[in-house]
Amino acid sequence: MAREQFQNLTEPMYYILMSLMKERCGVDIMQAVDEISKGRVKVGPGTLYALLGKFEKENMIRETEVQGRKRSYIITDKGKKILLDEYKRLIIMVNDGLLEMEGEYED
Amino acid sequence: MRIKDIKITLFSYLPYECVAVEEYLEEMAKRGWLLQSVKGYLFKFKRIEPKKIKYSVDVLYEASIFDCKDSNAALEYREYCKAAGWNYVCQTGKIQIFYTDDDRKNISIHTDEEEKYKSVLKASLNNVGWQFILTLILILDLYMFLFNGSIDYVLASDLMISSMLIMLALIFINSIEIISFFIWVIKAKGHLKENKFMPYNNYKQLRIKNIFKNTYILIILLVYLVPLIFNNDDRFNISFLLIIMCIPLIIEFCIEIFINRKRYSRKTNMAIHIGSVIVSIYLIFTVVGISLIWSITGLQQSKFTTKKISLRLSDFGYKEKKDTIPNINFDKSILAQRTEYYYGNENNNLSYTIFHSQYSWVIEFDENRLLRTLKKYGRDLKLENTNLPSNIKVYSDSNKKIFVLVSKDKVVEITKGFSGISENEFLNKAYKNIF
Repeated sequence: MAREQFQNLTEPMYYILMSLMKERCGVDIMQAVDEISKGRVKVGPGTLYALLGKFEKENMIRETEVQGRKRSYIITDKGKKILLDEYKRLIIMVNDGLLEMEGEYED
Repeated sequence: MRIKDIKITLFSYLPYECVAVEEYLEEMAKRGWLLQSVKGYLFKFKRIEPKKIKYSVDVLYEASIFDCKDSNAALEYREYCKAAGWNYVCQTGKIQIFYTDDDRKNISIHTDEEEKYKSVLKASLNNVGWQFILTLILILDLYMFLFNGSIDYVLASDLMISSMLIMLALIFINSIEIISFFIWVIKAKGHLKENKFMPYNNYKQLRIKNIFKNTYILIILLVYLVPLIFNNDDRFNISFLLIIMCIPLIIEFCIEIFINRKRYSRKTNMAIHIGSVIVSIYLIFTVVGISLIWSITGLQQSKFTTKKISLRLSDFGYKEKKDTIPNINFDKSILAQRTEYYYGNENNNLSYTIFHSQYSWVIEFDENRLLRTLKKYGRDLKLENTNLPSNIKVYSDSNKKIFVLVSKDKVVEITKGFSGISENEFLNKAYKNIF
C-alpha cells in the first residue's frame, strides 16, 4: 500500500524527505524546504503536519527526540530508498527530455 | 445576541464549508468584531476597531471529538502554524481557527490541495454520516407514526403533530445538507483532477442556506411553542418533553468540563462519553417511566372523566357498577378530537373511539388507516347495508362485533362486547347518541 501511495512523490513530499536526511524538528523542516528549494517550494504547516504523520506511519521517517512539544525526525532506510527511487526517476526523465527536446529549451 | 462589547451569533457549517466560515469571520472583523471562541455553531466575538484580518479555518483530522481541549496533537499542530506566522484563536471539535494581520507575508496553512481535500472530506464525512443515519431513523419513525397502526391518537394530539413537523423539518434540513455535500464532493473531485483551485463553498451560498434553515427552524419552534402557551392540556406534555431534551445536554456539558479538567487519554474520554450516553438514556427512560405510571394511575386523566359521554354501556340496559368507573380518554388538537371509552364487567363490555374532525382529508386518512390496521390484525371489515342514513358508511366484521361508522366529520370504531340486542338496534342507538 505504502509503496503504491508514495510511488511518485509530490514536490512537498520530495523536499520534506530530502530535508530529513539530517535530523530536524518539525518546525525547522519548513525553513529547510524553503532553503533547499531556494524559496521555490513552500510547505504550509498543515500540509507538513499531515505528511509527517503519514511518513511516520509508513516507517519512512522515525522520531528521534521529543523536547516539550517539539518532535525531531530523521529519514529511515525505507524512506531513503523511496526518495532515491524518485531521484533516479527524475534523472531518467530529465535525461530523456535532454535527448528528445534538446534545443527546444530556453531559459 | 449582543451584550455590550460581546456578540454571540449562530452560524452553522460543515468542515467542507471552511472557506465560507473564513469569509464570514473576515467580514465580521471588517465590521469591528474579533472572534474569541466557537462552541459548536455558536460564535463569540469581541468589539474591536474595524480592521482587515485573514482567518484560516482549518480541519485537523488527527484531533478527535473525544480529545480534551488543547490535546497534545492540537498543541503540536498550533506550534507548526505559529512558526508559519498564524496566531491561534480557538478550536471546536476537529476545527482549529487561526488568524493573521498580514496574510501577504504568511504561507497558507495548507499548500497541498489534495491533502487538504482528504482531511476536509474525512471530517465532513463523519458529520454527514451521522446526519444520514439520523435522517434514516427519522424517516422510519415518521413512517411508523403515519403508516403503522391507527392514526387517531396522533392526529388528536398537538404534541404528536408538532413532533411530526419537527421530524419533517429535520429530515428536510438534513437532506439539503447531505445533497449539497455530495454536490461539493463531485465538484471538488473534478477540480482536483484538473489541478484547479478547490472550491470549499462560499459565504454567500452558506448564508442563504443558513437563512433558509433558520427560518424553517423558527417556524417549527413557533408551531411547537404555541400549544405550550395556549393549550392547557398540552402544556404539561410539551414542558415535560423539553425537560427530557435538556437531560442529555446538561450531562454532556458537565462531562466536557470534567474531561477538560482531568485531561485523560482519548480512550478514557471515549469510555466516559459512552458511559454518559448510557446514563442519559437510563435517566430519560426513568423519567418517561415515572410519568407513564403517573398518567396510568389516573392522576392525569381524572379531569376528563367528568366530560359528558354520549354513549355508555348503561344505554343498552346494562348497569354500570358504582365502584368501577369507565376508562375514558379525551384528546384534542388543532386537527381533530378523540374520545375513547371502555367499560366492562365479567360478561359484558363496550368500547369505542370517536374521532372527530372538520377536515375531510383527515377523516379520509383516519378511515383508511383504521380499516387497514384492523385488517392487519385479522379483522377484515366489509361495507354493510344498514337502515342508517345514506351519508353514514357502516363497516363491520363477520362476527358483527366490531363496527366502524364514518360520516363527513366523524370516524367511530365500536366494539360490542355483549349480546341480547340486534345489530340494527345497536347501530341505531349508537348513531342516535353519537351523531
